[in-house]
Formats: sequence, C-alpha cells, structure tokens
Amino acid sequence: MAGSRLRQKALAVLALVALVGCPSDDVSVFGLKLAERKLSNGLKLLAIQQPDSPIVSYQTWFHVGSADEVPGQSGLAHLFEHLYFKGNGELESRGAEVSAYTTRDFTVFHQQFSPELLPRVMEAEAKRLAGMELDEKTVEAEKWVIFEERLLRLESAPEVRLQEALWSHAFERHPYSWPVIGIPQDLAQVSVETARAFFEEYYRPSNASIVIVGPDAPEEILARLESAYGSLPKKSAPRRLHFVEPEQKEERRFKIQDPSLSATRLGIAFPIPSAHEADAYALDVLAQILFDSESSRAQRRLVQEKPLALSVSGAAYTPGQPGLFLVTAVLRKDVNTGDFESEVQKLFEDVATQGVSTEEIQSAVKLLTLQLMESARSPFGLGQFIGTVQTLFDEPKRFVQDLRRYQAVTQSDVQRVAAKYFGLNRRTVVVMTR
Amino acid sequence: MKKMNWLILVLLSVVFCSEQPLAIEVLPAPVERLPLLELILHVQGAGYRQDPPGRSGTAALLRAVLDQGELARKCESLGAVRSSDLDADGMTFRIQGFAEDREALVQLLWSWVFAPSVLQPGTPIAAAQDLLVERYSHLTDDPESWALSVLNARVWRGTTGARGPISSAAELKAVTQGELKAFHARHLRAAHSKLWVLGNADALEPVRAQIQQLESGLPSAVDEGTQAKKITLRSAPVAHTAAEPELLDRKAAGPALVYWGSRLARPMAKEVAAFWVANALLGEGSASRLVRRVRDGGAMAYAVQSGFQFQQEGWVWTVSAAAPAQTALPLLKRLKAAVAELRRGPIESGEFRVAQESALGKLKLLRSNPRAWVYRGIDIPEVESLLAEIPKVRIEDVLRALNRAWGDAHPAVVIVGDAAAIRKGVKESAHAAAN
Repeated sequence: MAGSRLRQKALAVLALVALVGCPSDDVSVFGLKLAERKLSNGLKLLAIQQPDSPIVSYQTWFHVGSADEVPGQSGLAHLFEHLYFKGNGELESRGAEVSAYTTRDFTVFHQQFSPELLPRVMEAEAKRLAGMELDEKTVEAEKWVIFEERLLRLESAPEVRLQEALWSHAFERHPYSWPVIGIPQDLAQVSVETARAFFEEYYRPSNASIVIVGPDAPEEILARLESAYGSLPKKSAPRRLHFVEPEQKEERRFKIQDPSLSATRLGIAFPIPSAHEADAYALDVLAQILFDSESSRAQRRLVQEKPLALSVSGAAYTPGQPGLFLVTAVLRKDVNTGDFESEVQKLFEDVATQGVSTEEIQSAVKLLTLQLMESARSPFGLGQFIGTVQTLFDEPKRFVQDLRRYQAVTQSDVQRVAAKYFGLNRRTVVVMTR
Repeated sequence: MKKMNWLILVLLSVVFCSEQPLAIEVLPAPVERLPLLELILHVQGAGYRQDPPGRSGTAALLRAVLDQGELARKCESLGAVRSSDLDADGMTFRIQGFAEDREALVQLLWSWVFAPSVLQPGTPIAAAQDLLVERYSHLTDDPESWALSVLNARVWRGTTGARGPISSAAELKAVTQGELKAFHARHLRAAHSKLWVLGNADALEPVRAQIQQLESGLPSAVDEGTQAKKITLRSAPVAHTAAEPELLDRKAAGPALVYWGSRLARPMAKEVAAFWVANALLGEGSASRLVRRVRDGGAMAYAVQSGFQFQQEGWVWTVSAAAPAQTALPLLKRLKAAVAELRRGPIESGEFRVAQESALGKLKLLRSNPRAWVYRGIDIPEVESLLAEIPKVRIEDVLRALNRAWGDAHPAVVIVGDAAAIRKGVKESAHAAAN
C-alpha cells in the first residue's frame, strides 16, 4: 500500500479553485462547505458535506512516512500502518471498505461506509488513537505478512522494482532512498519496544488530521469529532529528521539482471525540488506535455513514429522534500538502451532550447485540471486531496494560491525548468534486463 | 494480485440483443456541480469471441487501429481523455472532458467508433500489428496476466471464449486492412450499443438529440452479409477440464500465484443474490472463510480472495492466492479443503449473517459510484433489485450456489512460479510427513 500521492496534491489544488473561485475566508470545495477546527490537543478536524452522498469517507492522516525513519529501521512506518490497521474486521464485515497506505511522507487510514455506521467508526478510531496494545507475537506476525506483501507487490512487478531501484540509487543519504515497505533485514530486527516508541512519537493528536466527507452537516460532524477525540492528551509535535542529500554531480548507471524478464526496462531519474518550491508547478506541466497523454511528445516520437518503446511514461514526483522526475519505459526488441536514452534526453533538450507552444501549455493545464476534478469526484477522492494539502502544508486553504501558480505557468517557465533540471550529470539510469 | 470484482454477478440480466436505435441512459455523477461530461459506449458483440476463424486478434487489432490518427490530439486539445477496452463479448469506448465541450465530445466519440478515418483503404496497419505482437510476446513478464490468460483458456476450453484477445501472433499478423474494415462493418454497430452519459443531468437531452442526428447519417439499409447476427444469451455446456494443476515456470524472486477457477452456466436472475452472498462468505474480505482459514489461521498466504469473472456464455468463479513457491501446492490443498468444508455445511447462522451484511454493505458502496456500474453495462434498477434480494437469501440458497459452482464443474488450476521450487516443496513436505 505504499506509494507517493504527492503529485496528486499538486494537481488537485488546480481543480478546486478553478471551479469555486471563492474568497479565501469562506472556503468551499466544488460549492461544498469545508469546515475545520483544531482541538486543544493539536488534532486537526476537517469536514465536508456532500448532501447527496449515500456514503461517508472517514480518513485519518498521520504526518509520518519512510522519510521519518533512520538508517537500519527502514519499513517501520509501513509496519506500523499494518499494526495500527488491525481490528477493522468488524467494520469490514458490515460492508465497509477499509484500507490504509504509507507513503514517503504520510500514512493514511481510510474507511467508506453507510452513514449509520459513523458513530461506531468514530468511537473506534478515537479509542485507537488513545493507545494500543502491542506485543511481540503481534509484531512478529505482521512482519511475516509484510515479507509476503513485499514478495507480491515488489518482487513480482518489474515496473515497481525499477522505480524502487531509481529511488534507491538517486538518493545516497536521504530516507527516500529506501523503499517504503522497507528492507527485509531492517524489518527483521524491529523489536516491540521500537514499535511502541514509534507509536508514542508519531501517532499523537498533534501529528494527525481527521478528514470526513459525507452527507451530514459539517459543523455537526466537527462537534461529534470533538466529543470523541477532545479528551485525548496534548503532546508536543514529534521530532523531525532532516537529511540533506548531497548534490548529484555525475551521472550514475546501474544494471539489474532478471532471467525471468523477456523485455528490457529502462528508467531515468533526475533530482527535482519538493512540492513546496515554485518550480513544482512548471515541472508538472512539463511532464504532461512530454509524457502524460496519448499524443504527448514521447508517445509520438518513441512509441508511434519510431519503434523504440512498447510503452513510456514520465512524471514529476514532488514530495514533501526534494523529489525525482522519473522516466520509465519498456523497450522494443533489439533497441539499444543508449539510443533510447539519447532520444529521451533530446525531448528535454528540445524544450530547453526551443520551448513549447501556447497550445501545448493550454492543453496540459486543461488535462491536469480534468484529472484532478475526476479524482476529487468521490467522497474518498475529495478527502484524499484535502488530507494531502493539510498534512503536507498545514493549510487546507492553500489551493487558492496554488491555482494561481498553475495558471501562471508560462512557456518560459517550462523552458527554464527543462534547462535547469535535466542535465546529463544529474541523471541516474537503471537498466533492467534478462 | 488484481481484485476480481464480484460486481459482474449482476450482469446476467443485461440484454443487448436489441436491434433498436441507440439507447441512451443518464446516470448523474456523484458531484453534479462538476462541469465534467463522460460518455461511455458499450458495443456488444464486438469482442474477441467474434474473431474470424484463423484470424485471432482481429478485434484487438481493430481497437488499436481505431486509437490511431488525429483523434487523440483533437481530444487533448479540449483537455479531454479517452480510453477503450476489449473483452470476449464487446468493446467499450470512453471519453471524458468538460461539459462545455459536449457537442465536440459526442462528435469525437462518434467519429472514433462509427465513422473512423483510419479504416480508409491504404491506411497502414503493420505498425499496430507489430506493436501488439511484441507486447503479446512479453506476456510472461506479468505473472498475473499470464496465469489468468492460461486459466481463461482452460476454463473456456471448447468455446470461442478460450482464445483470448490474441492467441496467435501469426494469425494476428495475417489480418488484412480489408478484414479489419469488414469486422468493423459487421460488429461495431450503433444498434448493438448503449451510451451512458455521466455528468449533469441537463446534458442528456442535447446528447440524445445529437446522437439521433448522427445516427440518421448512417446507412439505413444494412447489407445482410455484413450485419451482425442477433446476440444470443444461452449458456454453453460446461466443458470438463483436467484436474491436475498447470505449472507455468517463472524463475523470479516473487511468490507463486495460485488460481483455481470454476466455470458455471449463467445463474437465473433469482439466484444472483445467493451467489453474491456466497462469495462474501467464501473469499471476500477479512471475515471470509478463506481469509480466516488460510491467511489468519494457517499463515499460508498473504493475499487470498475469491471473485467472479463474466462472459456472456457463463461465469467463472475464481479463488486466488499468493505464497512462497515451496508452499504453493500445500496452499492449493488448503484452499480446496476450505471450500469443501464450506460446501458440506452446516453454515453457522452468525457467520452467514456477517456475509449477508457484508455483501449488502459493499453493494451500497458500489451503488454510490455510477461509473462502477456503467462500465459493466448495468442499470441502476438492477442494483436496486439486488439490494432487495440479498436480505431474502437463505443459507440453503448459498449452499446450493457453492455446490453448483464447485461440485460438478471440474475446476481448473493454474500456478505460476518457480516450478522446481513448487515441486520441491511437495517432496519436502512428503518427506517431513514420512518422518
């Protein structure tokens, strides 16, 4: 259940304000009122009413992910996701959908259910946050589950392994270098004491947000949430680790051999800034123009016009801390990997030297808007992007400014980021072949 | 492992055999304030089951060729996206954009499906053929897709459903431009289609009017030689398959994937709710029998579940699980034991009520997502009907469903993983048992 949702955040903000255009002191989302409150113990509450929704989406967000792990304890955040998630069986047996995931920056638990189950869920979730019993047997059993999950989700999927290899080699010191699911040797050594300490440090009200999207009035929801969670004790904000990744000055190249593969995969990563930086917006637009559509430049040149790749994709991953622009492809038979790398590099160079057209920018911004509107259509999707903005920026109203930043992306911005971030000396190349 | 969706259970009552003009239905989006419009067109009878003899892959190639040309660029200039799908029984085309571009979106959809410029004489298809053939040749890189395609072939042996989208690279390469055009003329017909309009309800009437106008431009007299036959929904007899598991050797670090599928004839409408509850009882969710016996109780598999796959000819009920290769065959034995135990009964009333409530709750969640239904060609009244029927299901109905599916159908088993390790695990466990 690991994976970065941060790019979604960056795009979601665009969709919101495009529709609403509301004054910043009266926040509404698609015309639906967003009510928020911060309890004295630091817990943030956010409720959005969808009067015609027959279901409720209940999301608990913790600002902790693999970026908060120290070397030797990789996978701890994800392990805790599993531990914290246990005990949802009764709710699931009543027809609720329950799930959770961990990213590099946050951990999310979410349930969807009929509104009549809301009081039961609220009570159970508040109790869970108040404290949990952990014993060695439970921790060890869950480690087994994660080892199996790792085999299934990572080792069985060449594309996932390629992505993990790119993150691993593009970062040398930062926790982003290890997979969210963790390194098996690290995970094997996690003790019940370590797990308890992790819970105490990060699973506290001041490090969490509750987001609810459903048919009930938001003020009423907030009052009920305050009643359920208000008595939890206040604790200070958790410690934050700060790793500074040294600047990459030389190209890095790696090869993975896998006899089970029949097609060669190739991945290229370039370091880019975090979601907090202004360039994140222009990078999203660049990714859209080059890779992220049916008639993108890469699709046309590398798949349709020249028989170089069976598929190609590219995206700007701008998490809470500096991220990566990733390009991955499945190559056609007998294609030289160096030739393909050159073609990809030429895509960036063309933008850096010749720019993009106004039509390309307009189309890209419209497509980004559509994608995000679509993702926020359901109660779950709407809650996801409000939770992301809240957790990363502590500003649920941030999208008002963010929209303007997207709309303000110019041809020269796109040209500038293409020239700035995609030099040969900045790239990490991973070839995965038979 | 992809989650097989039991939602398709209710597809049985969808009848597409009408020769009436295009039927348009509207399903309001959950958030009506969104200025989006989505058009989903099902063309029934245009699936790979209709590939001509000796021309496996014709439908798949047609779908790929239809995606070519300038439509993508026109679509994206509107900020719209599109996608298409192919299954045994039909093709689905989807286009989504901004509501203000309604007229252009309808026109794009129509040109894409019913009036494609890419089928003009002389349009090259070799590049699309090469691309499809090469993608097909790498099927083994994705163990799940590989296993499911082999399971599909085994379960549907003896029927046209067994061939899959592509079953022969040579046959695909032999398809000509003329044959594609003939397939299009014969099977991609408005009269076999349904169009769903998702968005603000105000969009319905303008879309209907525009479609009717476009329809009037189609040839009124259909050549008997090219008109597709009326689709029949009868169930084919269940083919017997070998009981021995088929091992697909894949030397990789990942786990072995076990798929155990049972084909059954289409249930009657009144039986659907019983199958829905039976699946909740068997392998859907953490309270199900398989999860409790195999994952929680047996610690044999991280992922274990059950679900349905559907074709017009019938259903496939599949149990799937992932485990280390050495334990794949013992896992299969455990899965079979759990199913046998459930079939024998008795089913305790508390466990049954949990399954019933779970099935009902999940159905309510799905009712809230119109697209989930539309993609499967289901109408909301059918969902409502199922919601009403589930509380009436009795334990004996569920036992009957379970025994019908897993009793006489001679299920097929496919395991993908390191074959040597899978066999070694059996020897080791036999050796351990002997000692």
